Amino acid sequence: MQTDKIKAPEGHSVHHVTCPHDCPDSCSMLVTRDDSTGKAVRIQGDPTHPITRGYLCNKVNHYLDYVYNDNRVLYPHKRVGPKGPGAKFERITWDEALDTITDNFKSVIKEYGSEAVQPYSYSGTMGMVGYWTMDWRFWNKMQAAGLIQSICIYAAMWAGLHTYGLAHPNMSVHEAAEEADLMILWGANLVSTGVHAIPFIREAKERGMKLIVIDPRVTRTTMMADWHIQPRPGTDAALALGMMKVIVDKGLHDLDFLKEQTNGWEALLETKLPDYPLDKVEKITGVPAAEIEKLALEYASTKKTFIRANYGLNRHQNAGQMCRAILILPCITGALREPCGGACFGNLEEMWFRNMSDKLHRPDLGERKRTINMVQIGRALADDIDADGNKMDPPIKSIFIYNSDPANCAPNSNNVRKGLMRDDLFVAVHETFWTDTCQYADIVIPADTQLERMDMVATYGNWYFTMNKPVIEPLGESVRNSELFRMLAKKMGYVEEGDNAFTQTDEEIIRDVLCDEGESNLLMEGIKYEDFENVGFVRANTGTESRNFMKNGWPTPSEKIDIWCEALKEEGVDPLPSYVPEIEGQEDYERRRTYPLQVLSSASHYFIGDSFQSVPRLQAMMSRPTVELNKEDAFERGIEDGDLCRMFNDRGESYAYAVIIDGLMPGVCSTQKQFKGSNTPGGVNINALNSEMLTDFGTSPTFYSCLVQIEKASEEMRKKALLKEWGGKDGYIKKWREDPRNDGVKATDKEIIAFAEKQHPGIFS
Amino acid sequence: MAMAQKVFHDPFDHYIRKLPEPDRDIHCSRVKINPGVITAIKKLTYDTYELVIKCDEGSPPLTGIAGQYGAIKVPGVKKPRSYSFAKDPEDEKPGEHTFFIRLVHGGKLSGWLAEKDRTGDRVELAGPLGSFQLDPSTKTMVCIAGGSGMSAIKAIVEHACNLQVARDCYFFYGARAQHDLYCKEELQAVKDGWNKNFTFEYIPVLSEEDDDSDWTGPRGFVTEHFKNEYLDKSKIDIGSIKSYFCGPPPMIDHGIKVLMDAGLKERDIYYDKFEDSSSPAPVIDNTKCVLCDECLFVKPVQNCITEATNFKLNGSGDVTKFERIQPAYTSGLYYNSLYIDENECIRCFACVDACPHKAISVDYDKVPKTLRKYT
Repeated sequence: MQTDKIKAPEGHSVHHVTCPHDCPDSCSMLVTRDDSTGKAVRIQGDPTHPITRGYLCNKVNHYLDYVYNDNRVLYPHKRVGPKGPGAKFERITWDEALDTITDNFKSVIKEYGSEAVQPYSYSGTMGMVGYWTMDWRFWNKMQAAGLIQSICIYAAMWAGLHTYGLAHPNMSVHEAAEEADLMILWGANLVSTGVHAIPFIREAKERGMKLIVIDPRVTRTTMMADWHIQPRPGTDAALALGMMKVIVDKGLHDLDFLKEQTNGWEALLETKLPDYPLDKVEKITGVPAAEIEKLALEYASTKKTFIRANYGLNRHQNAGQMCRAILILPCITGALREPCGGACFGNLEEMWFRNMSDKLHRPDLGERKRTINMVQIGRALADDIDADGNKMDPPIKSIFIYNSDPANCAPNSNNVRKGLMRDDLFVAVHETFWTDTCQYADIVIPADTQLERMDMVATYGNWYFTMNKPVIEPLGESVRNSELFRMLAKKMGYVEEGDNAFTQTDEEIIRDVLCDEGESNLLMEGIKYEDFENVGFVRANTGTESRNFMKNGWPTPSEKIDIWCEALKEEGVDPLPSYVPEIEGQEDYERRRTYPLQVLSSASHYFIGDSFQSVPRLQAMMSRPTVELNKEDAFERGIEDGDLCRMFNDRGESYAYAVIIDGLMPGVCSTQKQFKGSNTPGGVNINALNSEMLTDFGTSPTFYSCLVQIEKASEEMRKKALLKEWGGKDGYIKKWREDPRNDGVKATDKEIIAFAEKQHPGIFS
Repeated sequence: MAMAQKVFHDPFDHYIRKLPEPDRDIHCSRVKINPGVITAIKKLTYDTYELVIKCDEGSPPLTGIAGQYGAIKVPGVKKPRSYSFAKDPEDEKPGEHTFFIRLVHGGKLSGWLAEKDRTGDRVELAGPLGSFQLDPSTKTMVCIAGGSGMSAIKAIVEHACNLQVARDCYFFYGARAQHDLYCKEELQAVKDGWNKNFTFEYIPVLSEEDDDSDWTGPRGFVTEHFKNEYLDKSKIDIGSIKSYFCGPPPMIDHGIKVLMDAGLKERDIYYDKFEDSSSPAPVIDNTKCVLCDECLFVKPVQNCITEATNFKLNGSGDVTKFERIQPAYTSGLYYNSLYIDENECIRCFACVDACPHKAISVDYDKVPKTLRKYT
């Protein structure tokens, strides 16, 4: 979509693009194309987008190095030789690739039934078309096995749905910051995971808003806080309930609001809150009683408050209840009366999921027979167990992986990799880059990037829908997701006359989504396809009467905010928010005797999930996985800053380099999620250590409920890691010769190796 | 004869190393650093030159906006110096850029230029830098320039003329004497080409012109003249103007004071102050910095902003030593800091403008704070 928002140099044109990555900001970007070569030459934030405000994050600022990247899969490939790390591939034609895949589908369906074909995908692109349309129709038509896509937000989302009837009761952090006088970022490191909120928060602070950050870690966001509170991980529900008790005891609660707008408040006040006296909450959370009291009083006595929680919280085993307790806090003080008031995670559910699955997915094409949870892909592949815990017969015989890198992203990755290694399993991967999952594939087919396709992005952190049209031709022979499934559908004979399920174009799908007829999203009411022309983005229609929940009732069974949730009771979960110590967490004293440290695998500043790890600059700035350790924990283990460490438990081991952080709490350490396993010294990231256990409700993963021990790595491992980084002896010699300081120094390879041996004693022995 | 000893360097030790460079074809960086040649030099006054630089064929286009500036690096002078584009870039031939350079006592670049005829000499040009530019409103433009501040304002009024903006414009130019005045014809052309329904007025004001000279125009300080003759006599309504300043800092500071005393809001004032290499370098406040890399895209020289770690400070808090983060070092930039090396910084302040988080300023504390040390 061409635009004149910035001036294009002679022979160039400027186009609208939307960032497709898994981030709440969904930036509008401007890409300059050299029209003579067809190459994108410049990318920058759209100065007219109210959230993007003309700048990009450190990841997407280097997006062109992502598009034009040596590690891209540009052609279809088949594996030659054994699968697993180090697998070799050979280029084939698209025809051969499609035939191999569809022949496999057909024979598996014939021999085992269609449920033995397992699709696996997630948020490699957040574009509606690429994420969730043609592919889903294809799998429905095939009646392939189903997939619960709960690996990220489900516990937090269901906490919202069970309470407000929506995942995101009020507004975006950006708009709230314009009004609020007190903001709590709860487990949210927005500097790294939603950076466009930061200028809004800074401006709010300049006019006097107080910023409180609740996070066991020390982050660049906590550095900005007026007040940093560090609860022990997984105890936040106790903190929230303790705050509620203080507020109610002091009579600062908004009784009228509770009466008018909520259901079950009496039970909360009478039967639940008495369980959370300050001394007990102090003991659970590790936050001093006086601090909890001060926090509660400041929160209750400020009229305009806003809580932005983040999804790290929903990666604990007791996450559902934790998220619910936090989401209920603004009901106690009546903060929701204020337009800026409330608490939220994200609004994906309302922006996108709501009401449109029929149009997007076409469930009428066929019913899925069995389902696995994507969190438990390890046990599904390695142990043949489905989402309900039943033994699957037949086992998964064919898996089609796209928009995801399960070898690095799914928990208990040793089990995942064991499953992917199965000789009788056919693995096809549609990928933009040579990820670790590709090493297990029989066929790898090339995917495109956002510059090469059309799509619409519905953000999950603000209120803007953003349109994306292709700027450049697909590189190599890469093919976008929707087109791939059109091709597969054709090969499978799924295309039927009179049904446009597999013939709709991307533009037609988007027009259909935006059409008010039939199933439609209320937030898109009145928004037309044409509205995006020349602008690139449109604000969701949040002001409709049906969204006036305070007046017209909430979309819950009780039509009030469900502090008491009957549906949870039926699931066997406490219908009131409560604190239950997490399994494998701070209060798991038995397991902590062997594995005393709780490891939080948080988002890295340099990557978005698994993406961007091939971008040279980002790789350079984060070339090694790190583990943040408290001073005492490190000292106890004889670990110094920069030491290679072995993190381990009974499920596996992973290596990372120590960073000693002064203010980190003892007993807690932190490392990067989804670091490319093959770039770590041991070949697998932290996911080798966590389990496939699910959250209390919402069937989310429990990446953070992970107890480990850490020790200094052996000398042998340290050398091995260093050699791996160098690329062996040859790599050292090459780098030595490239070093400009060695220019003009004549040396034989032998002399260089002797020098290396002197610098790093014993490195080659 | 003694053999010269071979000094080997370990390629994996920590020294300032060049980081992976992006593909040169992908000139994603907002600022390009192009090789070029001086194609014309013209003496405008006894101390001011007009310089035209043509970037080499095939170098990425340096698409500036009127009001922005470039940094010129000449052989033998360590640091580049910044100069405003002196023509509306739309009026330039492809690849060409015009600058006004005033001889400054002890100035390295202007000294180099004055030494001999430099036509045909090879130079490097980095740009475009800065965010000084015409605003989109229709409010009356009040432009005040002094010295070679003529260049940016001239480019802006030329641009406004090309756009046929529907607004009046008063351009006050402060100089010492008649022999300091230049660009008379160009400004006459702007006046002739200005939107016919609106006024363009060029008002040179001389501060040191001999009392008995033939000068009939206004005398005194340009800002005083503007205040006494225009503001105080209500020739200009303070409520409906946008003001543009370019030139020496004392003139700008005084001009801003005059306007703000008269009730003009800060948001209606745009300025481009000429700082020299002795001004303090800006500092990155690491507690505000989000590491978005936006500042790195406007670097006019390679090493002014670096990814730094292991800072050594002296007693007064000055950084005396630091190491550059590089691949295969233990912890990434996140735990360390982007850092402006004042010995490399050319005081172009483009990073200050480019930072969306207001994390760069000359006013911030020089002592770097990093995550690991922060409690």
